[in-house]
Amino acid sequence: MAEISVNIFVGNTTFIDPEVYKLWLEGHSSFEGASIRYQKLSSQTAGLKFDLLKSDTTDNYRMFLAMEKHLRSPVTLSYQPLFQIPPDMQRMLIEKYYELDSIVAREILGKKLSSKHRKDLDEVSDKTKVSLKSCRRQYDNFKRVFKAVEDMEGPMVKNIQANFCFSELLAKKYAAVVFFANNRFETGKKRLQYLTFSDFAFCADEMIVKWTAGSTDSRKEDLDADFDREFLQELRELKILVSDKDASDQHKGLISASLKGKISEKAYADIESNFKNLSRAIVNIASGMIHSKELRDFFNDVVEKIVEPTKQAQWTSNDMALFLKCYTSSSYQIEGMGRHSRLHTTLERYMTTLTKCVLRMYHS
Amino acid sequence: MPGKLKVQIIAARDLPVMDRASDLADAFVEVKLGQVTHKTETCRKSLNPQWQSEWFKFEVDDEELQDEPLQLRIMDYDTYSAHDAIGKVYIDLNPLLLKDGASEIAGWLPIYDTMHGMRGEISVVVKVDLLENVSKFKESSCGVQFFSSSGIPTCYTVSAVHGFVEELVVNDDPEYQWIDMIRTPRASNEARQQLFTKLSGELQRKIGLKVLEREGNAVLGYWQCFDLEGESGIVVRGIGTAALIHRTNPLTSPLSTSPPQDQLNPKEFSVAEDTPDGTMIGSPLYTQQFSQPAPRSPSKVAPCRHLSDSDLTSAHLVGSQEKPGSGGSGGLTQRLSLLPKPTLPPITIDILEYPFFTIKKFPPGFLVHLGGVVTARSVKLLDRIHNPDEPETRDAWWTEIRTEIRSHAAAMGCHAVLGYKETTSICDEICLLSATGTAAIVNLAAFQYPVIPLSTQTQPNLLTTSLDRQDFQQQIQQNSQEKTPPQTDSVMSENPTAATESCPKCAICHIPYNESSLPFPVTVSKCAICKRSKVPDVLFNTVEPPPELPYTGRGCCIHASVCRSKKKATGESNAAMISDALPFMEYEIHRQLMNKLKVKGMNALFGLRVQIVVGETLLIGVATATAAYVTALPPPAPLRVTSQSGGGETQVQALQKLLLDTTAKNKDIYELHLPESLGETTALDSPQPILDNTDDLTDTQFLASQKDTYVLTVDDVEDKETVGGLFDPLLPTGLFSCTTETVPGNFRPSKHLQMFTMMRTQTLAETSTKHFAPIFDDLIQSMCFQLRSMAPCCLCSVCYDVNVPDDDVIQLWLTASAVDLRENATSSPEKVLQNKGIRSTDSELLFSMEELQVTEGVPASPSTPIGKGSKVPMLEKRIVLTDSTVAPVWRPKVEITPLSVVPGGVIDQYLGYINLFFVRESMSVRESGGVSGFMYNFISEVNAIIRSHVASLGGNALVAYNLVDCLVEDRNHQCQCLINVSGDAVHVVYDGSVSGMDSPCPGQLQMSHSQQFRRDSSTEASPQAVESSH
Repeated sequence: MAEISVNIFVGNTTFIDPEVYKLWLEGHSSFEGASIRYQKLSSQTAGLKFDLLKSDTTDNYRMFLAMEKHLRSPVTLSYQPLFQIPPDMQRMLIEKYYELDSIVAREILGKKLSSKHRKDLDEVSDKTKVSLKSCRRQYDNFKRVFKAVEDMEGPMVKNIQANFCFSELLAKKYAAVVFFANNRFETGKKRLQYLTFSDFAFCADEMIVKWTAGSTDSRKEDLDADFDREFLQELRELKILVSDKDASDQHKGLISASLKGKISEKAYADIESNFKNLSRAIVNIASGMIHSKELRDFFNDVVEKIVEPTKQAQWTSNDMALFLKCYTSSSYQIEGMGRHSRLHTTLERYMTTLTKCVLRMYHS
Repeated sequence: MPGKLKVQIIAARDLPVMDRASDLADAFVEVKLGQVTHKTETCRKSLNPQWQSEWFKFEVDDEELQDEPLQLRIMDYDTYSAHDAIGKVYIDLNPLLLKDGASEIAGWLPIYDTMHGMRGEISVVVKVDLLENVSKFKESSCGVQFFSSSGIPTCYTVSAVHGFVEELVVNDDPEYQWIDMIRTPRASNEARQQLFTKLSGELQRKIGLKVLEREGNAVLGYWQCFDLEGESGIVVRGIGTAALIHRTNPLTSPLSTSPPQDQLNPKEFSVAEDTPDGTMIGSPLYTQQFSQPAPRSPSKVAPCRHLSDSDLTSAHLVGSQEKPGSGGSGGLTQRLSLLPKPTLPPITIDILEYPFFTIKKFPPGFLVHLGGVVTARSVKLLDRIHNPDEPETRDAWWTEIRTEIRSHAAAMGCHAVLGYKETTSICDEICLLSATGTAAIVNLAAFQYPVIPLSTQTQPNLLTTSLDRQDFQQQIQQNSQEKTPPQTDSVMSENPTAATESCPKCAICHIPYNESSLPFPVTVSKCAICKRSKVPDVLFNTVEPPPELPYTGRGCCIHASVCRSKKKATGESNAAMISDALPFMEYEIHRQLMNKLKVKGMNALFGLRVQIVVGETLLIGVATATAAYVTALPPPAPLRVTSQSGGGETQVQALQKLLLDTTAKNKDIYELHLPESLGETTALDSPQPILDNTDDLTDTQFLASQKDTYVLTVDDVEDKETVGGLFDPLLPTGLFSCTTETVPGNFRPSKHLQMFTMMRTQTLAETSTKHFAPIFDDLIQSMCFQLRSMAPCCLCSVCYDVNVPDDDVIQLWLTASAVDLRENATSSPEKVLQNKGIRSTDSELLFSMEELQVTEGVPASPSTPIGKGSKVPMLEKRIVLTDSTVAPVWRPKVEITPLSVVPGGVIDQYLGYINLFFVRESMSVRESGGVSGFMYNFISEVNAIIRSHVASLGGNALVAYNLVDCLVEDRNHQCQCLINVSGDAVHVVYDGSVSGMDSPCPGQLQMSHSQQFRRDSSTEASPQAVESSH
């Protein structure tokens, strides 16, 4: 057959083959992409020629390349004149372009989004077996979203949705990334390796909902990637729970009484012997959050001081849930606390999210 | 000073970065018309500048408004050096000069640069205040509307056709001027783009003047093209059909919102484009220049009007390089015309100098008989055009060709040429001029007073739309009854064999020439429908399949391709060589088409398009057409394979079997099995169709010719390959294709899915048909793959375009529209009756929907819907629509289609003819992904720009889209490409559903619904009124 030098297909309406798009996003070259498609399709379609797939894949890649500019600022995708894309396909294009590989996202999470780290992406690529191209795209996406909403006012998820046309689900993931990057949480410690991206994203979302400036007062115009400073100040007052020996003992008594028989023997025994340490860990984490250095270690501390010791003592996840619930509710009855109704709110606000985070992290 | 132009520049967005330091631009805009330039302020440091400029005003002649495009040049301000160009926008002002066209051009238009492509968009508002100039001697022709659609535009009626109009303008090509040596490629490209745009405006103005002279106000079937003659300059040619048209119903009206199938209704005067009305016949033959001199019978022939011999012969002597031997050249004196003498005022075909019609779809009753395809070609040597203002040579060339076409038509006993088109192929100094059309006998009066075919007359007024319309219709019917029958009679009386009265449906394919003096070898037999008149064995046409004709089964696309090598030569010898080769190419193409048609089991071709391209060392011929089985024509005899060389008997038998099997299979695929009643009779007739004509002296001759066509002789390897070439690869299930706008058969396009362009450049391993033909199969396969997710669908208006940019390099373009088809349930009255029961339940649904929307003015009393009975057919039509659009569908902001309608919608406004010319060049093709990437981007951009222009006129679709690549050159990673796109900008109202972006607002929608509702009630009342008046 004669040599083909030019071969193109242009439609008035742009329809996208999600399969090819996926291959492109995964960073396959057009030749690799065509080979993969060929393996898949040749069994279904008789007489399918590889050349045909190759040129079709190249056509598609060319289109994606031309589209990438708009994918980087998705708002323009809806009005750019070059491609007429049905709205559901536009949505698909954006969602897929910004889709995160959890393992890649886990690596990038908490890192400073600097060009230095971008160069290190080949390590991430090696480790995760995700192609470097794809890692780069995800990293750049993080950075782009971060830059865009960093200085924006109002609720972060909404901001991301408005600026990038994301679904709420995807916007929440990105909010988590921004939140982590903004607060520089430490996630790289060995101890934390067992936690997945979705664990962190879950925690971030809970923190955004409860602990940030925007969470209680919608009028506050601060970015809700920042913690509520007042709240962090108030958290220090929880020290009363451990510093006062009477209060601590009373607390222990109340918990023991109400949990007896409801949790496993081992956990019960552990509470009997170790309550003080556990309580201190909870309170110390709370009171330390005002210092940004300690805040960064939040996850490390939670795992080191709460999750690991109890796990060693063979608590079940149910034990932990009941304990934390009881810890919160019984503390209101402590004499020292009873007088400070404001402290109740603070404790409640702290414990709700902490409970959720701890339980989420309570897996192996 | 008859025109005032006002322009406001509002803003731009997504400008490119012009200043590396700041990553921004300092943009301003120059607004220019003719020699006058205005400038906006500079908007500093922004890629999305806002100008909100004052209104820039230009006071100009209307002549200038027609010729000159408005030019916006977007510049980047530079304090120290020359300002940098960001890009340009050309705005054709002609759409604003129409009476009922767009009132303004407003919206975002892409900024385009010939070196960088699209660079952001600019938002402008352009308005024109036109003062009427009634001077007789004016040079302008504002208000003449151009349509490139192949039929009569919907929502217009034609009250007179003034025949063929043509014009050409000539200029130097800036690319070849001396100054090009010293200017930048950008400057040269822009000079070209500017000049071409201007020439296009000038050409239309001049054609407009001709139309006004003849008291017309529109050009139908307008076709314009640029011939790049290289050193000798550039020729812009336009042809069209002048007509006087009126808007059918200026108030949006029931008509415009009514479903397309209503247009089938002849009373609307419009052509039934959308809905092949079930069964019809087509009927031409194919004459070629080299066809043997037709047997001439001097018998009864009224000498043809305008065809004075002197005229003809002299014309013939003119062209020196002209290719020899045309079918009708010598001694045409006694050509007969069996034409009816049109008796109706005001225009008769006799007074038209060239009775050519560039449109391909006609109102019912217009076609009387179809003769066959007529073609004329001529090879010319280009020379410098010395005086651009008097381009006599080019004019003379075309006059020659047209005269020849006219005489060919006359040779077939026809007085008109339909679906007429003129094309060129240029290679260095050689220019091949071609003209082609379908010879036919027509009834011009059908434009003024649509003749209602007997069959439809029996369907009474049920389909009418409003009360006064109904009255009007009544009159028309009376008119037509009074006036047209005499007309038909006159046809009959002159054509002894015609028996049209009893069977109007098949009359179109009855032969227009005398049976005893056939103009070319053809087998005639009795019409399978009326069994009285004579029909040819095959019919070749360039027109759309007439909806009046009965068809059996479904049509399909067929193509033929020829590739011949040619020695390199120059000058006269080269021209002579090409001239000599042409007849052989035409013959080969014809043979292939004939044989493939037989293999398909069909007997007629519609929308035939033959393209012959001249290259340096090769000649290429490509023919495409829609094959169909016209019920009135005899069934095709099976192909027979013989071998004279002896031996290989088994092989021959195998081939024969394969052929028969394929034909049988095709019959199944295309549902070509004749209905029982017809089948029996034709089966008897077909084996010896000739024997009926025992009175015919030329019997033997016929038999011989029949043999030639049906028998394939396989003597050597080459012959075997030829036979092999007859088996086109089948399209995957669910995909159909045709070169015409509709598939012949019982189908109705219901939704437009996608318009696409494919382009492929390929080096031929060897210059032979054997190596050339597979390129098509390959292209088709690739196309099918692309469209796999859309099946089932039909590819309509499939159009190939071939170029030979280099020695052995072939460039193939393919444009088509994928359309969703529905079986036409309403084709026959009987069916309607059968379906009545089911339909009525649907109709209730429809009404309930309408009631929801109709809030005022219409009594929503439960009694209204129960008027059924006589109304059923009409309801039923509407229901089909509602069904098809249950879910609100997304539609692209601007639909583009090569068809002249948008399936699934109705055009309610034509906003102007758009013709844009683009030059794109790149010095580093590699960066943009090779030539493929370059071309891909370019075509995408061209489409994007044309869409924006349509949208700025307030339109939502471009119909009759045509993309012509004038040139693609790539050398050493530099690439230059010229593209010309054209079409009609229109506003389309889609059936029922509100299209997402640009549909009328809900209020309007409600309006139209209530109008429809009133229509219903009025029709209910009117039949009674009619009855009582009788």
